[in-house]
Amino acid sequence: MRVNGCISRREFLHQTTAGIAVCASAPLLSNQGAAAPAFPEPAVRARYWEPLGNNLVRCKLEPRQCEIGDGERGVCGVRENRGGVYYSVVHSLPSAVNVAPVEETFLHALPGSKTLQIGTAGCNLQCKFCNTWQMSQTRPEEAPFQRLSPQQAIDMAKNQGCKSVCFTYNDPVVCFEYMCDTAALARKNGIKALCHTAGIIHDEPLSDLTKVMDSIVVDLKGTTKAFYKELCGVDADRVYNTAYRVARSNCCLEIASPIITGLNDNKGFVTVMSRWMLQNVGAGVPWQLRRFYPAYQMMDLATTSLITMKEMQEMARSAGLHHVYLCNLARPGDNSILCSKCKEKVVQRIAEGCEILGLKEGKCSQCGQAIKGVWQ
Amino acid sequence: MDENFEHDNSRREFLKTAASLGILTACSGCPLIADTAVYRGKDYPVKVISNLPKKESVTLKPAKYWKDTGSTVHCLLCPKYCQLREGAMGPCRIRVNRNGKLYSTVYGSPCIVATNSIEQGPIYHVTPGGRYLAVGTAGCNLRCKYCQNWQYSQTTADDTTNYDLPPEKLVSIAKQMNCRGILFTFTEAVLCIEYSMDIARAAREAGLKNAVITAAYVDEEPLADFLPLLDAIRIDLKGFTEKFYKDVLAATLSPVLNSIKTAKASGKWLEVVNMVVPGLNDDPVEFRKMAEWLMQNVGPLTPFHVSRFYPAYKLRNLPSASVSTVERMRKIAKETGLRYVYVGNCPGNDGQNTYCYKCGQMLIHRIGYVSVDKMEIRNGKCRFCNTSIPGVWT
Repeated sequence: MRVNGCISRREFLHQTTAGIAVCASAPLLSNQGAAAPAFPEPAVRARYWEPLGNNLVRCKLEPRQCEIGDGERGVCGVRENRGGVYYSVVHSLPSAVNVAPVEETFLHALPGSKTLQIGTAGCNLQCKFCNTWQMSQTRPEEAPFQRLSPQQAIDMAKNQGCKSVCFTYNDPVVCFEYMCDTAALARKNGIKALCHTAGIIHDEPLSDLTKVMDSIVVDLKGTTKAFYKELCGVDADRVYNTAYRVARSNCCLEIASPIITGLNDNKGFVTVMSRWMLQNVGAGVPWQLRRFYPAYQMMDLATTSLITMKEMQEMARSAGLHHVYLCNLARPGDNSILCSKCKEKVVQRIAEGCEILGLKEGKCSQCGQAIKGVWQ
Repeated sequence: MDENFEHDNSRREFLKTAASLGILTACSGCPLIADTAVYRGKDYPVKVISNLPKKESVTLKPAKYWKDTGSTVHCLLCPKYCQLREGAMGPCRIRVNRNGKLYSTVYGSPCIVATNSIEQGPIYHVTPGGRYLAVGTAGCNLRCKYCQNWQYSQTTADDTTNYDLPPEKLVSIAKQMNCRGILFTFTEAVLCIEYSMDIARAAREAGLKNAVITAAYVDEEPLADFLPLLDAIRIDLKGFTEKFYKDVLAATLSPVLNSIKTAKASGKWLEVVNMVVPGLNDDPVEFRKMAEWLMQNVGPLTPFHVSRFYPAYKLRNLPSASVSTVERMRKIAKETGLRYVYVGNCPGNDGQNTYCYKCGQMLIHRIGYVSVDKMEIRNGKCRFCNTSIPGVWT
């Protein structure tokens, strides 16, 4: 077939096709070798749902009340209907587990201690300013995950010297079963359970949650329905309702507000919030003003000015709130706790240092005034 | 024969070259000596330092100013506020996420170390003619299309030759070279903030001054931490429109304006520089707005440098700004009430000298960016009329 060392047309075509085939299949072959571990099948049944017949279910965890067909998931992306049974997909499969100072999320809980922060994928809000959107605004299959059962989480907290476990990062309402199981186990083991939520949850699951939690941070991000509707995609009423109910439970409450440039970094926000807090949750509830950094879909906004934040803190204090803190700063400032009555410094907390000066069994050692929080 | 001839030829060429090189060196040396009468018997302020220990590879140092968001680290150093995934590097090319923690790749490894006179900043109202140890590390958070140090700023620490200089070592070199202080320059000093702050602390203990050259594209918190360690800060206000900052620098204007206000409020010596780029920020109307803003926010005593653009990096296609443009800008700035407006990059121009605003006498005569041959300020006051001239003179 060869003529003068050249190859025939047919040969050429044969060889080229084979070459192309090898090139095309090469990436597929290499991919198979390095495939990530598959996300486990859902194994833990969800709570708070009802069957609607025909393999449909209705989620009754939070006020959206998603109606979910077979093989589908709720808006959170982490609760799935499998043949008419509703499962929590992320139970024991957190995306982030970190040991961190408790002051990152809680200011009136075990000052100066470490906490085990746990977060899963998925969220029932779509805040445009989310700073953990890589986890919260994704499906669990697309986020990193690790296996950590409630028992393992408690063991880990003990080994790492943490005095508490804290569900944060995403909205832990979506991993409600995981959070409640871990919290119940934590209590048995003498570890405190904390969570940071946006407060979009029905009343029944909330009352279950307050029974196992020691302290809850509720985010109050804005004061108007429009704010919540446009920026978070949820109903503002439910959030305020949650804060109201937590304040009346045995569980401690803290309020956190991201201060977003041009949206709520104004006097009006402080006025409305402090009035609402005074009337509904009490002046002793700590209020965290959290600095906002451009993230997710709000990259074009400026970060919160520290001067503005300090002004807002002063305003809130003069409006009658006892504990107003500036949080989420790169370098923690002065977050000392003052007694609400005699203004004595009960916990000195400047930068990373923390010293308990005059706090006995949750009371100011000077005047005996009780200070709300988890102290031991 | 052939070979011999060639050999002969090359040898002759060699001798020729050597001779001409010698003449050239002598020629270039002469004006150098002639121009710097002030430095007779003294060392020239600009010197290359040889025999610095080199670093073999990049080392990581835990960074400051970041938060963990669970799946990423959120760098809070500059107003880009990057969220970096595992293994990722910020657009500054020096801060990296390794195992869920943020590290700086340039701690203790500057890529440029030289002695400079402080005028090269330009900083004109601080120890005129003083020799400073200028340090720069790789990387920058801006993407200025006309960067003059792009070989250092627009690259990673992997691609530059770095010296192994921990803060104490650097300070001891500064003392050894008879420097007045440390000048953080060339690239962005606030990006290697961990290193800069440690140097500044060590330098202050050693009795040296700290001066920083920055674009001030930095968050309020690190700036507030850094400022108390400094003696002088020179901020680039590169334009006065968000569009210019976005198109030419890939940054935003408002954080820079905030930084300028913060720096002024801190009481540290502040100077502001604007470089006039033809066709991009040479609109006299915008320029007047900038000068008025400065007048309102930093006051008439802050020196303002209007610098001339030379084609560099990605703006090689533009002509250099004409001296007349720069002089016109200077006039505009003076009209708004700023007292100390200088022209930059215009050698020999009268606009780079300092005059007493009251008696009009020349107080400081500058030769280029490197030397001062007339200094009529005594104890911070004009020698002729006793008017106090703002600045750090001792």
